[in-house]
Amino acid sequence: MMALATLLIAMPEARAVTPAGTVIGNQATATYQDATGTARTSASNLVQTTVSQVKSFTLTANGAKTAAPGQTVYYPHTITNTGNGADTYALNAPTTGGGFTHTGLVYYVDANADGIPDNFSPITTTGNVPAGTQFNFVVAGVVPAATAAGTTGTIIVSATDTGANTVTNTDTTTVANSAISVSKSMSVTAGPSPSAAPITVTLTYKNTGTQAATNVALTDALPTGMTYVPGSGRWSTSGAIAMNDATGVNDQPGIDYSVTGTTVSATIASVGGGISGFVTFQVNVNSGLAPTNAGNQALTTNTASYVTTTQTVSSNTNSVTYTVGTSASVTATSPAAVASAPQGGTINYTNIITNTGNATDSFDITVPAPGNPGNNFPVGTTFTLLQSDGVTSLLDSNGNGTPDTGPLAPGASYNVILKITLPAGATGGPYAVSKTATSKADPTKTAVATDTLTAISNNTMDLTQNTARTDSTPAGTAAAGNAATTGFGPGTVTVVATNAVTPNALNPTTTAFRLFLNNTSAIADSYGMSTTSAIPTGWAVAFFNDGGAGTCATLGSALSNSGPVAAGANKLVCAVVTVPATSSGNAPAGVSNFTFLAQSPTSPSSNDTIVDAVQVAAIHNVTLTPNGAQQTFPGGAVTYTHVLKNSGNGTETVTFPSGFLTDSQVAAGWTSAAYIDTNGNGVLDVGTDALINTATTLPLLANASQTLFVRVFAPASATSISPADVSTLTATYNAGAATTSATDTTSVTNGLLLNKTQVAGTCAAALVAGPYSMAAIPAGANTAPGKCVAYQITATNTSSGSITAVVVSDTVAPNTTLAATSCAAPTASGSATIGGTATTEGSTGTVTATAATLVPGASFQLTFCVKINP
Amino acid sequence: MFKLLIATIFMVSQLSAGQTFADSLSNMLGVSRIVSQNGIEHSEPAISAKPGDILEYTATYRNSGDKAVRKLEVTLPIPVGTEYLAGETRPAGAWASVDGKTFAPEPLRHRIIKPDGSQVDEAVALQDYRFLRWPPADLAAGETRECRARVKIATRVAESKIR
Repeated sequence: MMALATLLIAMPEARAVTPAGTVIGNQATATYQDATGTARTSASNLVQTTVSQVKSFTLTANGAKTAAPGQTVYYPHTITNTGNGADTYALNAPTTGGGFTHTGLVYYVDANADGIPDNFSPITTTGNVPAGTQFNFVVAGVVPAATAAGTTGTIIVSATDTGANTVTNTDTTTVANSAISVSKSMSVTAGPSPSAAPITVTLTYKNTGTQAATNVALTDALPTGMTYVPGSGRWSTSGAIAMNDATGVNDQPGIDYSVTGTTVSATIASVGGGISGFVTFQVNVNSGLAPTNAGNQALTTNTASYVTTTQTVSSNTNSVTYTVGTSASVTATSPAAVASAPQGGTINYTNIITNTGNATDSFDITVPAPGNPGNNFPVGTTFTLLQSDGVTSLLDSNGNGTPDTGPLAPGASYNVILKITLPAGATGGPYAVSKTATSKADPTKTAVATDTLTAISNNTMDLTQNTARTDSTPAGTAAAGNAATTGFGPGTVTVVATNAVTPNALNPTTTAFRLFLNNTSAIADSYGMSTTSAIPTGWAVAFFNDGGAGTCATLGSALSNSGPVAAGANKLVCAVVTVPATSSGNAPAGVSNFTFLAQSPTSPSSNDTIVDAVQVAAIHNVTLTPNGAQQTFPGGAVTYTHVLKNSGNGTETVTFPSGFLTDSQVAAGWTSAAYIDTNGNGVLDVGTDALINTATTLPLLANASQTLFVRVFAPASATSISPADVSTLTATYNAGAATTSATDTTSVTNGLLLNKTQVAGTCAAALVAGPYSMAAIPAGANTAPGKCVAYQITATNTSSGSITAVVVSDTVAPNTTLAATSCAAPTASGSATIGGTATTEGSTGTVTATAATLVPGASFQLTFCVKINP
Repeated sequence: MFKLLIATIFMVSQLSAGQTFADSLSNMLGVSRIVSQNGIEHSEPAISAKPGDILEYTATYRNSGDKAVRKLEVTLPIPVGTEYLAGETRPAGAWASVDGKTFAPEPLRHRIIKPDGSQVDEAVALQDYRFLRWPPADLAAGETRECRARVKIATRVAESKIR
């Protein structure tokens, strides 16, 4: 499977063990979609594991030398800490064995690794050796003076770490009368790669014996990190004369020098006893080498070897290492400026951090807080450093508490992503934040990359009527071309939709407007709903979720905030206007405008208004009540009280057309007249109250009423058997288009005139004291169940002769019972006596008053009280 | 004190604004050290560990909301200093990546340019695996999902061949 298209460069590998104390941190992430379909990211807690120490080391190398009797031999040894933490090594006392016993065995420091003690202070421990580094030392031993040539003796070198691990080397000394020792040195042992100038390698030989050594062959195989400088070979005997690199007999007498491949060879024909000399040549350190460490030091470590005619076993010189130093360097490349981002939005800036040093290094990434130098983003902006996947947090891999790139090989790059989340209410720009990449190896080496945002684009939304925008999800039909009817675009003062409402006389009426909240921003937002126009007294506006059909025909829960609306999506909200009952007087006919506002609470500039209107239909409803019925005597007159009431929602002008007042018995001489209760006292005051005629106009405000009177005159010729007169009063309203009328039926008695009056109130004896009225009692507190009504019937003899056996009888009305105790017992005035079937509290039936004789003009009264049933 | 008060109010308002989009997904990562004794594995705390030790990471996701979470896609990094252990991932089927951007089923392969300019395709060394990602799946309300992977602490810090 060719899964990755990455193109890679094959590189030599260099390795070292994971250092003790390294913190291995990890943080998982997940992406998902929430209920609104918005993509979200979740980061876990950070877990950390600290790497503990593992101890490990090597001791090199076994040595072999030839030495003359009485000579001191030095064997170079090297401890390399191959563990992952610093350690200290005990140098155990050397032991000796074999054909002779070395004396004066002791260890010395050899920091420069030239195989010769740096000083003659014996040591027994290495002191602290950091992980991956080396400690060089020599063991010194003396060959006793009397030792026979050809004898071999050994020295056992032993080192033990703090974990009780012990490693030994064995050095073997062969006694000879000719004893060549060779040491090696370089003119420069530390510096950059490549080296600044050719480095001189010196191989110094000495015959410590008493006889000449012949065919002293020096061989130096150069390490791969070094290159021989042609023609640079010199010999101490021949001074400045260059030796020939080619093989063959072409050099100064006494030496055969040649360079084959990367191996330098020099064979000196004879070195006399006690004589010393040297061979030199030059090398250059190659370019592109990583800093020297335990893993790669072989690249620049040079060890020569030598043999002679008598010393046929190859002996090694000391090793000399050219240490390539570390040079840290870093570059940081920022991406192009981002032109615009929405309020509350996020931007990912990919910054390329490149290790331009020569060693593996990690780079700490720091971001200043908003408002500090190097970061002028608005306060409230959050900054998150992410790994190159754009999701995982950038972690601290080098244990200094600051997120970093992790180890980067020389020349390698890492993409650090800075995720910037803008605060919802922020505006303006340009903004810039400068990140700093700091080398862990050399904190003075830094690089800065600046991420720029040119401007924050304000979030936007559009409120539309009845349908969503065509570019919203789900799409509607609102577009620029139908803005007048859909409210597409910014809000205007023009009414977009008008709902007609016919108000109810007694109950409120509601009407709903369908408003679509189109989120035209790039991020999810929510919107508060309100009405910015004045709401008429008694009216109400409320906002609801739709009931499910998408029509606002049914309503869901009430809301003041829309809840989240995803980017590019829309939501239907029902704006419900409540029109009060006309009886409240607050529902006049006409048009009321409402300005609805949807506004993001976090980005207030994201808002829109729409103007809708409610048109209240005109209600014309004037009534004239009640119809009346009374008795009078021939030639007498009676007065009827009527109420003209405007139950509509506008002012009515009431007029009285020709023939507004008629009498059915006008032919028999009945007449009538109508009056306005001008002084408003509820009683007809002829001369004060205005007489109604066809010129009368009566303005009547909505919900107002006016008392009218009709006075009916009976002709003297009327008798009790004459047909009753029916007077009809007619008023017109709604500009004459509607009429209302009331009738009054008047009859003439045969002499006994009955006049019934009433009063309502709390059940008590005082109720029967009146005042009584012939007027109807309006519904109210006094007519509630449990209240009492007192009736007073006056019987008057209006004839010219006495009337006998007068019985006035009345019935306890349905839904009432006699209140003989709780109010008052029935009474009769004058000589009349009380009778009937209803006599006790709570009884029903009849109440009567009987008078034996009633002379002309005399009268008596029957008074009783009833209670309205609960 | 006045400044402090302002700051407090600011924080509260930020919180209430954020509550509209309350996150009902909890995300917890655990790590343990896997020790094998006489062929029987058990877990020990992984506060510290030695090179060569095996760590098991367990990412646990719980949907505590009342609505399903859709397309939950879990990404688990393989930390620097550790080496991915193939075949120990649960549930199986996770894809791997060296850069966190391009994911592919195991084993990963890449193209190497040799010093002489020729190109060869090679398996990516496990030490260079840096991310695992499980295929997206919905997580119903009240349900829990666990993703596990094992790594070995590197006995050597490798310099990546990938640059």
